Amino acid sequence: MTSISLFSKDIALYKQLKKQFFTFLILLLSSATLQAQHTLQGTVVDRGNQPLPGVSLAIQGTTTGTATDINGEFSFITSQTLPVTLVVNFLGYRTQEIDVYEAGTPIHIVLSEDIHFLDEVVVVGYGTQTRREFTGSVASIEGERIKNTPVQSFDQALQGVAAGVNIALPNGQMNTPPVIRIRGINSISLSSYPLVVIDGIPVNTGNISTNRASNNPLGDINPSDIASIDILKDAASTAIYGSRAAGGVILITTKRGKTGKAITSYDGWIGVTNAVRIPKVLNAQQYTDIKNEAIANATAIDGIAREPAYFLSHDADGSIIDTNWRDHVYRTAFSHNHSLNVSGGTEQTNYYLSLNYSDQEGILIGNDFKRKGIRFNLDHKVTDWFKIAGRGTYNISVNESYDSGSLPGASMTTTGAARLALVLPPNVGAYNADGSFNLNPNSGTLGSGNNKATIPLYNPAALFALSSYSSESSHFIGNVSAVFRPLRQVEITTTYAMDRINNENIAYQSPERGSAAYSSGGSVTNISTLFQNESWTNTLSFNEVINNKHFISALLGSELQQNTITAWGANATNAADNFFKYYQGGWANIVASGNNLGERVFFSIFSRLRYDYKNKYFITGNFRRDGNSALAPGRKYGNFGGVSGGWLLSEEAFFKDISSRTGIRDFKINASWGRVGNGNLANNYSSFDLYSAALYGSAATWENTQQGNPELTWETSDQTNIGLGFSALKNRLDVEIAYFHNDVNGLILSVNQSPSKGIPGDEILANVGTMYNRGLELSAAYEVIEGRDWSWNVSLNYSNIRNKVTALANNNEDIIGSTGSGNTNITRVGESIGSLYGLKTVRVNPDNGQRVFLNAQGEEVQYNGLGSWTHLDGSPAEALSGEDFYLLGNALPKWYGGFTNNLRYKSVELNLNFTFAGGNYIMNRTRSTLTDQIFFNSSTEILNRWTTPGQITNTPRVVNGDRLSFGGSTPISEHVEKGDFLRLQNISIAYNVPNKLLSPGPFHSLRLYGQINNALLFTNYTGIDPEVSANGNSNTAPGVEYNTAGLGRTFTFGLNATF
Amino acid sequence: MKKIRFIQAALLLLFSASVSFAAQPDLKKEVIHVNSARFAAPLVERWASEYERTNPGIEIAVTTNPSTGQQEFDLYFVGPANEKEENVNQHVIYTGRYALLPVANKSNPLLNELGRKGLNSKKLEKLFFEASLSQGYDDSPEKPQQEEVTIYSGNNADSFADLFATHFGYSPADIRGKRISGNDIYLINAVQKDNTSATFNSLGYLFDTETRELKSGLVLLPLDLKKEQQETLKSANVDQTIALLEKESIALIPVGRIGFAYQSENASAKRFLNWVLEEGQKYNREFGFLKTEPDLLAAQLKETKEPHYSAVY
Repeated sequence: MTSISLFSKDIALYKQLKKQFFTFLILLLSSATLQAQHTLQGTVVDRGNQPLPGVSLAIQGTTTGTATDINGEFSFITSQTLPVTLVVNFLGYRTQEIDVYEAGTPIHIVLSEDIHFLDEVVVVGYGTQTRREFTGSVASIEGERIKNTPVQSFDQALQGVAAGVNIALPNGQMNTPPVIRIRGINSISLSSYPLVVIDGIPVNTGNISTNRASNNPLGDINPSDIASIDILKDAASTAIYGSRAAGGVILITTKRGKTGKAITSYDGWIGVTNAVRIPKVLNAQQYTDIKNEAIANATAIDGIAREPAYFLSHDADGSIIDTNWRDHVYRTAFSHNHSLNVSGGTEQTNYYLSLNYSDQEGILIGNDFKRKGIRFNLDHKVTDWFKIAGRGTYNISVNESYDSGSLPGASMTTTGAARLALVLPPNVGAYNADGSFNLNPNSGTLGSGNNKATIPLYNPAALFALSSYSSESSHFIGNVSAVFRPLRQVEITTTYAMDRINNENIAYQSPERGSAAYSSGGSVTNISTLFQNESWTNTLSFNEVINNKHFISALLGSELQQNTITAWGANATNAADNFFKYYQGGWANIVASGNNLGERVFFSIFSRLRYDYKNKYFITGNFRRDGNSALAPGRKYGNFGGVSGGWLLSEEAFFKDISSRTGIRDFKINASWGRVGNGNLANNYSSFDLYSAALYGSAATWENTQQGNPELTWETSDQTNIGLGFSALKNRLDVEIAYFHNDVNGLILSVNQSPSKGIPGDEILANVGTMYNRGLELSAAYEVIEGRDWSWNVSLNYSNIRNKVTALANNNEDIIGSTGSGNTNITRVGESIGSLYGLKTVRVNPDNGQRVFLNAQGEEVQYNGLGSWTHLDGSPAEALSGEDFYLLGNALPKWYGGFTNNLRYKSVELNLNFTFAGGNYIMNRTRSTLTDQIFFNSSTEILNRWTTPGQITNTPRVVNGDRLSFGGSTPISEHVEKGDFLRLQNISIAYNVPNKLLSPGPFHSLRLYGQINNALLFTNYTGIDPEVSANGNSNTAPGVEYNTAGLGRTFTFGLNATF
Repeated sequence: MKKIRFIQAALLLLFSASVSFAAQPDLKKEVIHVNSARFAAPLVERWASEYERTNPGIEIAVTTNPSTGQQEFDLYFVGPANEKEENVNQHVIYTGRYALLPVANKSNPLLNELGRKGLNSKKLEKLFFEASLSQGYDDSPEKPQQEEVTIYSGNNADSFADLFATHFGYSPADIRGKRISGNDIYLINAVQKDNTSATFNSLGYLFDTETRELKSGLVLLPLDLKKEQQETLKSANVDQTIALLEKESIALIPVGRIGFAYQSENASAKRFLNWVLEEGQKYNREFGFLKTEPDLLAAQLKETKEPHYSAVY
């Protein structure tokens, strides 16, 4: 037992008590200290209640603070006496100050986005800039805006979204590349299509299919993967892309993961599409009556006896056969589209993974587009000075289609479905009574029934059953890059990128009667094409701020790009048996088809220098030296570049007073000049002498097929841009205005050569010809109401543009453009490129029902429908020909744009997107088809035909065989119509399910919507659609509608969910 | 050594026992646990003490911080933080109302600018909110003076910011200026020390419940109201203000309800609520609260009097 005495000299006990005393003292002191400390903790979220990681929080006037973690949570200790002011900062959000009086309760901080026009980031060539710094001309579109649009490729969804960018769908066939013109047509013979760069990779564009099923390689990009689309419009912005930038540049940035928890998103829609505005045609009775009337009229004119040739037919049950052929061509189409992605990241690594599947039916029977694919985007910070990134997308897409007759050059095919839907006689059926196809036993075309006229067009029911066309792509686009930051100011980036398409095109036509290949015993054509673009890009950038006034930025880079194309294929005819539907089957005749081998290399060095003074004065210079192997030796390299300057007036002291009086802010003016090139030669060896293998008698030899031009070099485009922009009404109104003038020089055209030179085709490519585009653009966005319950935003973009050709080859010789089998357009000095061209009609002579024309001398002459031309007094007149053609109007819209309305009440949104264009004329050649005086059925327009002397009408007397009065064989001005239109491109109503209904549950957000695309069209144009065109992206034959399939109206229901 | 430990253990036991003993309720009394928001606590405590006085067998335990101690309550407070939440398992009885008025530091130059007419809805929204609905229709250049006003608002879940913002069709995140973290009573401190400041708060916090006058350093922002209404508010007397608001509803003055959620089978809680509705209303004004609207009061009295039957089949 231990005796206890607190006063004893028991050392051990003393030590223990001493220890306990000090422990107590320390605890006491600690607790006193702790009393002066406070733990500040809480969460930072955005207005959608999503946690915000990386938000900076600091106590005002101190260095005490922290940043939120991936869950948006923060916690730190302060010894400051309360209250303290907590300053909450996060880029892109309004800074918030919170006076903290009590530390016990978690602080819930909601940050609002600080949407400031000049702080928006735009993607420029090889980098990004804010609008404040940017001194060129750019239109930016958020990916969110297009992801729900029922399209096959993102470019189809860009109609009316940006000033200076005119986009039109040329026909209703699936996956057709749209017509894109940025600030007008910028070439005559070369492509005016803009350069499309996806995550820094210039990619293949255009229709790569070799058969009737179109294939736009941009359809292999899942629209839901796109974060932003930036369209560079002026040379100062595009010059960094040098020789391929004359048509503008479209920069696509795909989504990346953000630091934070993994977020899964699903975007999906289902839709129904119907054909609209299909012309009304005659029924069987009207058809036979009018066709026989035309025969009788012919007899009345020349006195030659003719018998009626058109008679009704009857079914087995005795009812009249009255076939609506559109039911055999068009359908109600069903589509569905799904995209699922997961994204997230840590401080070191961000990822974005996606899957997509799309199955879309076209309004034309048999037109089906399918795509499935994956994407993987990864960014990893290895160290503070070294980052790596990878982007990759692989998609498999296939488009199946019959011949719609809507692709360039196909408007007059005997198998073109859009024409068959209109012109086939309604008094014959698609099937016989026994269920077999109604076919002509000799030709295999549609059977004539009781009609005496032979029908050389095919029965679509048989045609579709006995043929197929498909174009399938396996498409990879990807890059890997590494970024080094050896110094704070210096960043070195190296990127290897690849765009590789393995494209297989199969066209099959059965040997059976009813197929277009009936006479050749069937046909199958397989063409396989491998497109491969590889590039290696290296950049070095330097950014430094000196004295907080001078900002200097420099970019130096090099790019090596190699494009190769390898195509091979074969056409097999005369099938050994109807069984064989594939090339691999038994075919008697096989010949090579579609072979192609090409290579083109670009090597470039480029730079950009930028200097800002006090964030008020901005100057940027771009330069690129481009080498293109397709050009002539000694002329392969060209120098391109531009300079631009900006002045932010609103930062000047004198503007502050103006700003406070008028509310105008962020007032900035820009000006730029630059020169870019166009070396988009269709042939990789355009400047070379070319020889092909041939036979000289029976001996193998070479023949000269192209005479090279050692002088051949780039087309160049000198572009001037002057713009201004400002915000007003407390940043609720943003306005941008720009004027541009583009001089295109050195247009590459074929120049006639003397036959004595022995040059193949008697022509040679040369840099001759000039033209200009100039115009004005306006963009405005206005936040009319922005409140908790209500918001209403409107935006408008408007462009006015003039194109004029100022010089052409061969002493300014006109260039004629054609559609189908006839000339329809003319490119003439002093006029807009590709103006409409044809015979000028005046009226229908009320006395005799004959169409009155103007001949080249300006005299009125009339045509009796049977080959006789007379003056109005009855005296003979010379037959009109191509020499009597007039320029009938400009085919390019002089103004166009878009107008959007976004209205929200609480959780419900209503969006209305209008597009408009006009000032142009359209040649409605389909009207010619539908009044042509051959066996074709006619539109109901023919019911207004002249029948009685004195009758005033624009529709002449019908005369069998008359192919001139109605424009059947020759375009006439009667069918040239104004193309002005206003389209309700999209109307959607959406419901954002409130968070309180979603919680608890897996969803972070859920949006349900219904929408109608191509909802309404207001136009006086009588054709199927004012935006379709028979010649697609042709520069010299725009504005012609000729048996073209129109655009469908699509109803979709979809949802966007994150969880 | 062992003795030391023994002494320490004994002291600890003694201390624990005394604390436990002190914490034991009177076993004869039935305890009703009630939680309350801080701004309503004085009123709730008054109700409790008066009820206890007339019902000696009942003890009302009022808690204002549910995160500590008692977690289960017989009566859950319903107020700014949760008035809109619905729980089908609980009944809610509203026992009073609170009103929000805009105030400023009495040296704020804004007061001279506003003049006699005062703030109408458009001006009030422009003053308090980041993106006013009315701005879209107002193309007059903004007045720089308004930029200089610092708006203070609460950031806590039970702040009045939610009622104030939603009353005018906004979200709390739309409110301009600075936030404070802590109870809304600290908004008074913030405004008192900043002569560019303005805020909004409940009558119970704005007025001194002893003097019945506005707290020092504050002035009510004049509102564009009828003359007699303006005169009443100008008097800056809490009783007159409450009388006015109980008499008529004024669009520019947000009014919210307070009450309690309870389980229908909790008879004691229901009896207490019935008492609050029948007898306790007379204490509301003293603490800056309005009485429950007469129609609602009558309906709730009926509800709290009738026994709640639940059928079993």
